[in-house]
Amino acid sequence: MAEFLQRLKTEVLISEGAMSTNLAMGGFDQTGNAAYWVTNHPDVYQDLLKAFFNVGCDISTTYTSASNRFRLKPFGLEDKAGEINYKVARLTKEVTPSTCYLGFSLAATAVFLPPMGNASPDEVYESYVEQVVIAEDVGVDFFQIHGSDIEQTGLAVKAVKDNSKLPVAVLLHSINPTPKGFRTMMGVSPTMGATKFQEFGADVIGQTCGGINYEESTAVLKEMRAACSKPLWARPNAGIPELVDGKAVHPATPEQMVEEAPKWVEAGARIVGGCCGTTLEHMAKVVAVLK
Amino acid sequence: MKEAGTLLGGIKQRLMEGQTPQLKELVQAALDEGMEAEEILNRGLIPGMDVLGQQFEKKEAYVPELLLAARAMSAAIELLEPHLAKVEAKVAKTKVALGTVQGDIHNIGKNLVGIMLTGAGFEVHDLGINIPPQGFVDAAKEGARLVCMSSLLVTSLPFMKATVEALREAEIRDIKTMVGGAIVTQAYARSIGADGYAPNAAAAAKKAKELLSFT
Repeated sequence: MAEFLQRLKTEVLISEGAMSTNLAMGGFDQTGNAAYWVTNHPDVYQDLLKAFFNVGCDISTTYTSASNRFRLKPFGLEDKAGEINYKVARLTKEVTPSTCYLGFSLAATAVFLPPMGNASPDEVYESYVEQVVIAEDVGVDFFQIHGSDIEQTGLAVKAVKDNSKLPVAVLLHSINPTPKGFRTMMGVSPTMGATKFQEFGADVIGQTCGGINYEESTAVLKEMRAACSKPLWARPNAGIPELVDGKAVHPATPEQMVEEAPKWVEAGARIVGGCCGTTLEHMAKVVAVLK
Repeated sequence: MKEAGTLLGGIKQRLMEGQTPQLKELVQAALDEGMEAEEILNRGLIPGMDVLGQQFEKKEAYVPELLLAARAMSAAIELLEPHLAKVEAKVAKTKVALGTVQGDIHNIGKNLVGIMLTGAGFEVHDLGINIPPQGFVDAAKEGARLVCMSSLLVTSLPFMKATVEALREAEIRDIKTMVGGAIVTQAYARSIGADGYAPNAAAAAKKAKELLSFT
């Protein structure tokens, strides 16, 4: 199997669609910790990943964004961090075909570092190290980090760099259109994000779940392209969810995704996938168009 | 007190910038000049939070600015508190209870609402996350005049409805309810019989004043 980053030079790879919203259809009620739920419902999780591979996806990422110590704490699962991360990584690896790539996912802790909050940067860093070491132990192909701020995302990248030689992809999370241009909830623009993430040593840079639609994702990727030289990863949610009859509905259709996806590639995306609301049908159609 | 206006302007400015040490210096200077603590609060700090709140609502300011200003605000209030207590007609603060409803553990949005409500001068009783209807009812019985519920999850919305119903059944006089959080809409708020809805933290503070007839 050709080296992951090497392939991105000449090809467009496809990563999986949504986990949360698709697992919800498999019974995940979102009121517990997501990763813990997966460890108790391994079949639902593995079937979903297998289905994404079956429609032609090349990349899976572990559903571990909510399983750092800080995110497990509200559920009293802090002490099970090692076990939960290990299990989810193993489950993901088991169904990832040898021709495909496995990324271990790290995400925000939901605590704030000084001066905004009281979280200890050392403890945040250690929580990421704990996950990185487990990922290395299980054996993955790369790391994927989701972040909406610079400092905490930087700690996650450092945790990877200090403990692994594997490539790292950093995706800017929760981007919204604002009067000052695109900004995450923490005020980071795609330009700031891409510039800093490149400085940190990211090998792939991109965008994921936020308050933007597919067309705006194109604009975000163009902004990132202007600010960095790394391959980009487009991983948008299927539009902004609306409440219809008591259910969250992501409005963007597979057809709309197919229409916009080539523009993401044109803007520099070398990996295309989807977050919340992205169904198997979305990904099957994207594979057909891009590969 | 020729300098009062300048001082209050500086206090407002430093608060908006989240400059805690500089803000404390100015607040202390104002107190030393004999300015009433209430004036500092009502004409310096609260208007500062108001302006920042408006900027946040328009997405011209973001979460870090709000968190920094909230820190500066509590440091300033700490300085003012002993003097506020001295004032004869101490303002009885209006109690507001706030929490993320049962089945949901998201706390960032709820905390931002808490910051803005505190900044608007309310006494905020933050119940926390994953709060069952009875938790909100208890808070109302303990004197909260407004109950604010947050939910980010569709799956938790039924608990929002159950909480509004539980409060109605408890027949607490003059209690008001307000809901918000990611997917919650005005239409949903109306459908469950909530008194108010706010799309974001800054709007929540405004709505709270409106619901409690402080505007």
